[in-house]
Amino acid sequence: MTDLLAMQWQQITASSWVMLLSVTGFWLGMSIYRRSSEKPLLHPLIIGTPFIAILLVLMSVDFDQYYKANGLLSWLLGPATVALAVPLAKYLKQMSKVIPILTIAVLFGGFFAAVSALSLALWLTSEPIMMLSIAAKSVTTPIAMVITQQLGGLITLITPIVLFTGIIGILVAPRVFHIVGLEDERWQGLILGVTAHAIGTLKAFEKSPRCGAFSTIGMGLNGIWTSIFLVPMIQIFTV
Amino acid sequence: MVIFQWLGELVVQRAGVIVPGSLMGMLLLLIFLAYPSRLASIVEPVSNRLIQNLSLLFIPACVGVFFLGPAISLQIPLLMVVIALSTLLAIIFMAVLIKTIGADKND
Repeated sequence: MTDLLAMQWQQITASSWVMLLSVTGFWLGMSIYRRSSEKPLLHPLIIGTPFIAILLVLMSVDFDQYYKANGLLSWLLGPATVALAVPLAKYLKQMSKVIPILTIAVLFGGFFAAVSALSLALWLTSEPIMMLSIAAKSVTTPIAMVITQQLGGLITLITPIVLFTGIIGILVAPRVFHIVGLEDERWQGLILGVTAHAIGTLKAFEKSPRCGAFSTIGMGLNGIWTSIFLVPMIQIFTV
Repeated sequence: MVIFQWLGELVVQRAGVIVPGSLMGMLLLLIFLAYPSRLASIVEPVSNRLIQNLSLLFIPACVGVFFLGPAISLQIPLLMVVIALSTLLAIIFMAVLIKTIGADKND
């Protein structure tokens, strides 16, 4: 217990001025994103991260050093995940009548997202480590990190994988909704949350609070559900 | 107010051994919020701020993409194809599933 606290404290205090780079990158990404009338391809992360990477190389700061200096931001991911309970609780009451459909959609959707990624990875890469690293792709970053760790995948890879999944998700989802003819923003939100986690949820909240609420529910439930089924499933297959 | 976030995290660390700690914390807070209390009004502003700036928290880890070793970097295009395809498939699957159940009709 105290060990954990001490570890977290160390992580926070390791933060330094280098963290300002992240904030600057984020601010730059945000302002470009807003000016472009919020096009998904100009997501703050897509603009911000290469910018920071270039600055790091120019200033010859290595990545480990940078990552450690951002301890506060990484640590905040924990409370931020906890914070997701607030919109969840707020909207869960309104959703009581659609809970059966919601449950079916999340159970099948979450399972399908992981299995489709696994089988495609198996077919195209034949690298077991890639398969293990990709399995948790539709789950929100903090949860995906823990799952990947348990599976024995590459932790460094899971964040970009999760990010890329989210970006692809918000790019293709509107088109799929249009083609399939799914106009109900509640279910659009849910799908964004299950398949594109936090980035999808961000997108959903931009659309409307209701859409965002369903997205949050989708993301939260899928995170819980995936961490339950994925680890035992992989263990059965790899034995 | 930040203390409340800390409290959440604390409970988390104690309970969450198998389940990810922060996830457990989310569930706990969810249970607490299910009962009407002043807690909601205290936690909400903090939670909103955190969620609004969620992207910022992903930045450090994301920058790592540009600093992966060459062996892994070579696999990245293939990995992107896999991710793009499976994400597209998953979204189509879910959209068709919901359409088939007819959930979008009854409001």
